[in-house]
Amino acid sequence: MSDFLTITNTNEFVRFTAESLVYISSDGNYSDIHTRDGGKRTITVQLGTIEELIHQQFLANGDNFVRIGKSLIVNLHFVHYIHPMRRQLILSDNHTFKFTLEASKEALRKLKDYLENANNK
Amino acid sequence: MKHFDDIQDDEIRIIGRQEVIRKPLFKRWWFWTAVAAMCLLTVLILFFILRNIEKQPTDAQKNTASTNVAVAPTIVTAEPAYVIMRDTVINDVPLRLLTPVNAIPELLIGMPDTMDQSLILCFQAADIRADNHDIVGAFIFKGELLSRGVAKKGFCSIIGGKIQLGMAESTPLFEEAIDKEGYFFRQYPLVYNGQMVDNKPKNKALRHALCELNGQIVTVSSLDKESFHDFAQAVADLGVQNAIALTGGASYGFLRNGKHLSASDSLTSLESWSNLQYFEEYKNLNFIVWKASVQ
Repeated sequence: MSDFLTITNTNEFVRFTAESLVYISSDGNYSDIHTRDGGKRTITVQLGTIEELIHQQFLANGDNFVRIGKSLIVNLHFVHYIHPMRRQLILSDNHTFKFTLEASKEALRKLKDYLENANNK
Repeated sequence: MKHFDDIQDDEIRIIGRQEVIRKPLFKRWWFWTAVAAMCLLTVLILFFILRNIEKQPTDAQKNTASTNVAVAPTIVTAEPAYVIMRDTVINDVPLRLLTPVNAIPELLIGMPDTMDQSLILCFQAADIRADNHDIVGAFIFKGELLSRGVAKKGFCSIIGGKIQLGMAESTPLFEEAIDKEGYFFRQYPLVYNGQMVDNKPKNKALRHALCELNGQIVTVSSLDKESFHDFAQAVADLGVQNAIALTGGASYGFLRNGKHLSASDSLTSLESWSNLQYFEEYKNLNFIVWKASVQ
């Protein structure tokens, strides 16, 4: 498997290491890729396609990423805080960056359950 | 199994954990867009190809449905050939009718020999382009195809000494003329099934027509400058069943030994109109002539 998530189209070539990706948000036909250095790169690729690329290219450690609803892909390593009732999700390495996101209660509750179970294993 | 796009806002999916299949092509919006575009493109291409084929010279096609052919047998006997001349006025348009008798029609390339006593009637047949002097429309000379095109829908074929007039973009007479070493040319249609046919040229000029009148082939000429419309209407009102134009304006032609039926004109041994010298430079100068079989 590749060390990189590589995304190409007719105009662009861009790649990221799994560790550098914090989350990817959808904006229609565009996707915003947010990285640990606080950067954001907008590419003309739909979120479903990026999920597919992650699935294919990061198969060995693809389960580090979770698709949340229609508009988010999140690196589970950086999930710092979940509050389903407030619909709040905070991604942080507790050092250099902190992203506060919003998602549905149900999705966040499922994410919370998943991480609790994974932690208990 | 789920597709990558198949997720709701209240769901999560651990990537790489579930078996996710690629969305089938037929479920992708762009697939059907592409299919629709290809179908549309195919239809357009077919449309333009068929349209182009219709516009191309298609005389070789056997499409008789739109062909209206007037067969006017030329009776050739051992009697001497002559031309019957008759003048009349239709709708204030003075006309001269010439009926060749006992003569065989054919096409001629190049200037006619006025010294050839067998030539009793001669008209310019197919038009010639002023720029390159090429013949306008399909032209077959003794079975040889010299020019292509259906710029004008009217046609005249001469096969086995018989003139057939018609109006169609394609006619089997085209092939027949080639097979039987006949003649074929195209001109503006003037009368079709007894009805006048309008044509684009609006200018006034001396007009000539090759007509089928009561089963006989006659030529009709305007004695004054007329528009295509007025001339065609007069020819139709004359009772002509089918007619096509012959080269008008300052075109050259002549008749020999006319049997004049009008008291106001005299018989002439050779009566010509216009000046042949004007056309001598035209390489494809062509005529329909009637030749005497017996002199």
